[in-house]
Amino acid sequence: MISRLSPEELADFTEFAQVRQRHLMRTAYLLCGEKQTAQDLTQTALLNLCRAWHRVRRADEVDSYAHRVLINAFLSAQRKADRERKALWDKAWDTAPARAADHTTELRLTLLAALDRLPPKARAVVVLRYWEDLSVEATAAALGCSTGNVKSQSSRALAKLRELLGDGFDTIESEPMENKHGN
Amino acid sequence: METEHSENERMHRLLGGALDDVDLDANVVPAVLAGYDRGVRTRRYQAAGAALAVLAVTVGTATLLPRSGSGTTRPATSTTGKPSETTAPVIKKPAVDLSRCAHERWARMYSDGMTAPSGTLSEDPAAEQADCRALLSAFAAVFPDATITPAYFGVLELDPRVDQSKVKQDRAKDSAPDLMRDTGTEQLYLSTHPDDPANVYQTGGGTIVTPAGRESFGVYVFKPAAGDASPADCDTVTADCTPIAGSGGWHGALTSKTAPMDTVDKTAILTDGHGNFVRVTFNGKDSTGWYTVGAYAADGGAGDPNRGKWINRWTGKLAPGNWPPATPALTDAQWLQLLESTAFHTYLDSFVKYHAKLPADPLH
Repeated sequence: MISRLSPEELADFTEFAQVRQRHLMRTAYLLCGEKQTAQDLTQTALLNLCRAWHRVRRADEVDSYAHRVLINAFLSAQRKADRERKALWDKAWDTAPARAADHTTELRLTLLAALDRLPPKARAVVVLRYWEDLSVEATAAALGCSTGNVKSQSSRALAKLRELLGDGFDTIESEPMENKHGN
Repeated sequence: METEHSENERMHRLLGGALDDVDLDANVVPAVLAGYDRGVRTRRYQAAGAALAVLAVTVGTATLLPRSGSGTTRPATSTTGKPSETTAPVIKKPAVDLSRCAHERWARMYSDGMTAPSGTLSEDPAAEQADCRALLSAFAAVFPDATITPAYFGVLELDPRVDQSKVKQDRAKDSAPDLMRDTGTEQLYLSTHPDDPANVYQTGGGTIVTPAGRESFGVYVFKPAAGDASPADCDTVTADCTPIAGSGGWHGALTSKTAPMDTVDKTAILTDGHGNFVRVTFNGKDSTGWYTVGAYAADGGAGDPNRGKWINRWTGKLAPGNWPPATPALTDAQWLQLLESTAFHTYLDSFVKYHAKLPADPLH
């Protein structure tokens, strides 16, 4: 049963959605690697958030709940997805890693391909921990697992990425970077 | 520790780099709200975002009373010719311009306080018009200088200026960007032209404007869940609570609760002691007054210099920040003054009768 929102609640949700949709879409893009899918995930996540808004806003946990619904939408979509996209990334992977550090675009594609070779939950851990800068505890809450699980997934995922990216992982320059969160 | 921090930073840069040059500015909010509306019919709308939920058409609020320089009273007349049995309380002073209550198109309401599905019009707008007059008269009796604005929302399907075939096509595709591309300008127009016939008005709530500010409010009938302690009694309410003194049987409790998004929700629950309950809500914000450029642009307003800012649709004023600023029209004491007034309690009597005569909600 979907709870019905009061006008104020719906207006509040609309404000939240308008402000945060870009941020959620960027996180979704890191989760799925496709613009259209990121848009769909964001839409699904916001719709689920809207349906739960009545209790979410009262609990003052809007952002953390948004993370949870986005991750759930991603994992659910992953379960349903066919393997065609995976095959495409595998193909891309065959050609990309050797040139990974040469050009930004290639590095981006390489990173996305590398992320796509991680199990969905491990990929979600990487995005939440290192893009969203969530703590281990908050990541565990978003994923509905233990902190120990987050730590082990994170450790394995980083090792895998280091292995896949090789030099590309270590040659990220350390000059100041603008806030990419899109807030 | 430093190594771990360095690795975190490196990963953050790596992930940030993956977002370079990726255009992720699509505006999915209208589609989300339309999706929500398909799953659930919402309560009456007083807010821009709320109306967007129903129709993907942004609403505004109609400046009702008094028009500057206008000291005349023009009693509203029903355009249907059928007088409603739900008549407004007779409040002769102060003079109130009720002309906008004569708007012809009103949303169909149900007896449980719910709004009929998107765009469904009332078959007997005289009842809604009478309630509008009663509400405005009650406010004017307490705050003669205030301007009350009823809720309204635009219905593209009623708008002869838009290409209906495109609207139909966009709706069929469920494409919010396409709808914004084809009708965004018109939607913005409707939001600031309340008298336009393509706007549909709605009973219960609206916006109050005073020299101090402008804020939205809602008025709803409701029934407490069976077994619940009386929500109209501060003794049974745990939140910050102020008793609302009674007259004519109406009395209640005004609670205040901090909410996310820099909001403090105020909720007044009033009961007449005969099983009728009314909820009045406000929070010092004008939920209809502010919008972002992305709300009317297919591309989310990419490249617009005002992107990320809130724009007041009436004044053009810009406001930074995650949420629109609070602009309270009344102080808490003034709200309490209204809620304890005989004029408002008289309105509540008529409001309850109005609802009792509305058609039953087919979903309940």
